[in-house]
Amino acid sequence: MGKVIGWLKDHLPTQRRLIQLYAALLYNAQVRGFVTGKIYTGSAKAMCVPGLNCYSCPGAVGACPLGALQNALAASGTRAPAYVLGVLMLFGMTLGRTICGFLCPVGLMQELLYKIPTPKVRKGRLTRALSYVKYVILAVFVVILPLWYALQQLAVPAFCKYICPAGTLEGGVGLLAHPANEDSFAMLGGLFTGKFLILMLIAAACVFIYRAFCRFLCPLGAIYGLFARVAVIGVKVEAAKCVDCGRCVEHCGMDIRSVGDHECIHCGECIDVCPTGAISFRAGKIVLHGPQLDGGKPVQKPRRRARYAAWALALLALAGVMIAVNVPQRPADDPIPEAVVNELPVGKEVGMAAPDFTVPLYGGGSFTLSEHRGKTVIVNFWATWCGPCVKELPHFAELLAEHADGVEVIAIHSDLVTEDVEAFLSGFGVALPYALDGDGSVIRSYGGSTMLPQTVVIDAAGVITYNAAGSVTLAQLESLVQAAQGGN
Amino acid sequence: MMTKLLPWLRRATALATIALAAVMCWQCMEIYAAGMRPENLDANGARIAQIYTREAVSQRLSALLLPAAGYAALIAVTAWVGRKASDRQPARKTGRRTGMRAGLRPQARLWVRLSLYAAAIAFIVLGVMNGGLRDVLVKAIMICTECIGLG
Repeated sequence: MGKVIGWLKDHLPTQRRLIQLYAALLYNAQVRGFVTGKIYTGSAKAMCVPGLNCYSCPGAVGACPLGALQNALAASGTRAPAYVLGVLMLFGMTLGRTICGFLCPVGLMQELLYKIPTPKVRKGRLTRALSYVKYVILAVFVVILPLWYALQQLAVPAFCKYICPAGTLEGGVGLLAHPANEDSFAMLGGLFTGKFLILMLIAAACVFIYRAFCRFLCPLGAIYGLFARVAVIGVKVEAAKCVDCGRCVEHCGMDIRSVGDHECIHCGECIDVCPTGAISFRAGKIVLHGPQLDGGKPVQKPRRRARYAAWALALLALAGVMIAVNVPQRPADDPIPEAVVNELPVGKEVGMAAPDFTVPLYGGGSFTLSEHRGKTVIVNFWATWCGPCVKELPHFAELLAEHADGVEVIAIHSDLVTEDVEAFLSGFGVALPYALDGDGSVIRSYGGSTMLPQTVVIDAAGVITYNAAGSVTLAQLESLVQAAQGGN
Repeated sequence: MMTKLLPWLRRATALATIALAAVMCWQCMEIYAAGMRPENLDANGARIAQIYTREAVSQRLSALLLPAAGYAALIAVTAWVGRKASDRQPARKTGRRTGMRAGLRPQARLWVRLSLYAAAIAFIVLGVMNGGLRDVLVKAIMICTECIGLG
């Protein structure tokens, strides 16, 4: 029994590990999402969380600051990205890279992978040089590419799209793992293959290299690193006590040159290796965690009561958030009543009669689906801020020009409008009938609501022959039209 | 004995890690290559069948279950041996490098902090007023499939 208790004591998670777990759970408090396979769509998602956590994760209840920043930069032609920049400054000023050490789920995953017992790559000149790669990624993938695409009226969060392992794991794999999203497998191709390989490489690297992604690739860490010298909370060194022995730097797994610099994640591991007790974890002048011993004498009373009270409050807050986000917010999403048209049930599935709708057209007039019976109708759900949606619109215009007699196309903007659709269309040279789904009822009646772009093909008899989320090419559209018109 | 065994076990775990990651990558590329074969494309060059299917992925994952279990067992053994051996090893020597750098002077730091906080709050207020908050919400509650690497 004594041995068991001893083992348990040895293996108790540290306070930092508990805080990391707590943060991961708090960011992904919508447990219902993992059961239903759907993402959280409540208003809490307007707030950014401090750490890297994909907002397309079924459990996510807040926005990823990096994804939000890229999207805000992509929309900066019409609106200054003030909110996201302000939030990042606030986080950076208050916590700096303490967020990486305590509040980042990706950091937690990397540390757990590093626990796998293998020979490890020690830090050195090469890793220190590689630690600057994340600044290049920040400049190229987070700032330059989204701005460059924005000039072409495309919203492309390049880091999310091409690199982010959190997006692939939490958003991509997280959604695909649920049977409700089985249709999403249809859209997987080269992009997913590439991103999965990147995820595997990063995961494998994290087994051998301490926090490989965090040290070399993470642009969010690079942003918070800029606040290293001014962040209020973090590890601080008392100059008067420091004897420059270098044990702290030697002990640290990160590529730091000094405690608290832009590479330091303020994990506090160095506090207990400092022989003079010069290092402590502080919030301004308040010592949150200091050295336990200084020359063999205890220097700080263990504040157990305060710690337990803080944990009780934190757990209460977590319980409150979990209750709030797991209570269903909307009634059933399907507004279409059970009905039968031409002996077929009306619904969103292939083979069912397409639900009829009328939508107002941008530029005047309206579009009613049933008025176009006898032609193949392609309904595309899009949004100005969805890069792939905008990129594929020319394919629909080309298809419409080629098949003007037998095909109708309607591009319906999602109900989530950012007030710039008309301005966007006036400068957008792709001629199509554009409409607005004002209350979101049309997209919901076709089974969509959270995934864009979505394309529906309806044959001349009004029966759905294709309905899927994801980008389409002109060749795919040609094939879909042929199939709807009775071809192969 | 434990101390001698440990490096070999660690190397074996490292090899197993690389092998497992490589197999996963290989499986992924194989599914993709199979989906893009000419017989799976129509006359327009468009795919006539899905590249990835739940069945294909599940089949390959289930084939990896046994190796994954072996890998987990190897990790457990290595960790156990590592714990036993660590009691016998001397503590790692530390080097001598500069541990501390001079930062900003306290007064200057205070002013920098205050001005950055003021700027951050002003940015947030401005952002809420110009619709930036709604923008973040709109993009967070919709899934841009290509943006998360789905396609």
